[in-house]
Amino acid sequence: MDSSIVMLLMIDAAGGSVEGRTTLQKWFYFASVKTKLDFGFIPHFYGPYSEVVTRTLNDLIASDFLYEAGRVTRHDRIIYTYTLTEDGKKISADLRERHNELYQNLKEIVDTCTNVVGNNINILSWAAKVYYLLQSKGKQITYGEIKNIGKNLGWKLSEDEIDSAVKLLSALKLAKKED
Amino acid sequence: MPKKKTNENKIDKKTISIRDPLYGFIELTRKEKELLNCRVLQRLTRIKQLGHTYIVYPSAVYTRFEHSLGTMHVAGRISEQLQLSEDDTRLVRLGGLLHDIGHGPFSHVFEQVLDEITGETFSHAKVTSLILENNKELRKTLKGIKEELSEILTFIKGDVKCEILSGPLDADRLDYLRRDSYHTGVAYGIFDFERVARNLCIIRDEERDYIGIHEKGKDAVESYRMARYLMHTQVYQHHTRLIAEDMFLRAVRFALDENVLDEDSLNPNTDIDRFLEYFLSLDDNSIQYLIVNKSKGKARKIILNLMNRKLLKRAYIIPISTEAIPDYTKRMKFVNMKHEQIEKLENEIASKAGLGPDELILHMQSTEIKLYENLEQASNIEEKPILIKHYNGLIKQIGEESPFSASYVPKKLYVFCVDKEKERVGKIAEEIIGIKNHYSSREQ
Repeated sequence: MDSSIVMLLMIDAAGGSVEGRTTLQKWFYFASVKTKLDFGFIPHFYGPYSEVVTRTLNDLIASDFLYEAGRVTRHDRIIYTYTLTEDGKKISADLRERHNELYQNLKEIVDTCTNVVGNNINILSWAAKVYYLLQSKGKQITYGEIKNIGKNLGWKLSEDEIDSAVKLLSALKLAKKED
Repeated sequence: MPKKKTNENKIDKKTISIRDPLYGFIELTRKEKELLNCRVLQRLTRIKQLGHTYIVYPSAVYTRFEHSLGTMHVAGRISEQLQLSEDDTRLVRLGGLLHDIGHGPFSHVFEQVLDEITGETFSHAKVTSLILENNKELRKTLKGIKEELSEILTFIKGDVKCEILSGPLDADRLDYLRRDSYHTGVAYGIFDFERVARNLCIIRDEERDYIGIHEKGKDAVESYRMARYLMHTQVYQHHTRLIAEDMFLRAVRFALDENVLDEDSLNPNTDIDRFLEYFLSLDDNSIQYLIVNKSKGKARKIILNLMNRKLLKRAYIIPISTEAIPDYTKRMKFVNMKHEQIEKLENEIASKAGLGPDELILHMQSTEIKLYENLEQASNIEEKPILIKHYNGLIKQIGEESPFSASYVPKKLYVFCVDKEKERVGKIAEEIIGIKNHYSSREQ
């Protein structure tokens, strides 16, 4: 499946707009896990990262299917938002009809991530990273293991945030309670 | 054990200095000097770092050899900054010196030849690894450290030593950007190297360690990213260089068809020894003279044209943007265009124009260097975001806080052809593709 199709459908599933490059990366990662599509994710400090995703995003902006806008937060950080352009909306509507099953799968992932962690990219990244680590080590992905490995990552997350990450992986059906 | 290391270090103290336009002098140890005289290293003196860029920038003729020395020097400088042990520093410097021995004639363009022959991605890094593993002269010189060196050059461990040689702020790029800039005369590649080097730091993680940069060096890194981006748009992606490389690639394909080049000997998956002997006999000069002397067909014609700067010219260009292609369904087709589709389109245009494959070439250009995370370079090593370590200890990705947005240079589809046919070909391409020629409209 072409990564540009997945990206357009994913942003469409999110209501036509997504905030944050990291958010897109992590949504794509969970989509690749759930749908078995390979986007070449490699490990990185902020969790799995895909060059394909970055390049696809650039291609779609350069060809006027996505629009990027940046805003400076009160902490002097810049948050970028990606919105479907008019042509982006038209092509997404075509793609939704042609790839409805994929669209529904992506929508479920996007909705789950949004409902459980909202715009908190730290929790999203942390969950993706812990899942990636456990999976690559061939370990059972249980609540206990997630918390165990997570504590050693050295990220400054509160207990509540860690609980949210566990909740997210559970809602995505990627983690289970201990047997 | 520590005593033995000290003795080794005494023996391996820096013994000679070589002048370098960027660093003044580069000092070498006995072992490094010994390696310089190996055949695989000397071969790099006959492979231009920038391939066919000299066709656009005549002074861009420096070789992989100078760059390898520079990379070794910078790798050592980074190792010292990160306070690596003497053994690790020595290893990383050797890695820097040897990291490019797997390059073929005219550098990266030859990787495509190996990709096509093997049917897999066969980067120069893979060839480097094969050479390290099998070259007798190197094995003898690197006795005792070959395995470890091979690990860091093939990025198996993915630790700090690997990142010094291949990462978002690696010695390779920190050297070649400034060196390319110096040799082309294009000033865009200049950045504050010392500021970057002095602020590199190790960012520790459960999984592994990363190289990041302290907040103090953030602006210097922004300048480095800008330098990379501009060097790509101005030098590496220059349309004349692109067509020169495409012509060379086509000549090599013809040479393989004409049995002027031996395809079996160029396949590392058949007989490694035969492959390495043949591959290492090829450099910028030998491959051109081999083709010119042995070929009686199109391969010879193309190489002679290249040598005499009789290049194919632009006949048709379309940027993949709304202005050029308002129809969104058509535009989307170009975004997703695969290699086979480009080849099919080329055949169609060439056939209608009555031109042969040596006279017309299609090229889909995509400026892959962007100003944020995506700093993809010519080698096929995957890119990762640069990490910034703030004063308060927080680690952030540069893309999340850089004032530079990504640079959205549209992809461009080029049709190149022989000079005398460019007007006619431009019209044929316009008719077949169904989109107005951006090149002619710009000229008018």
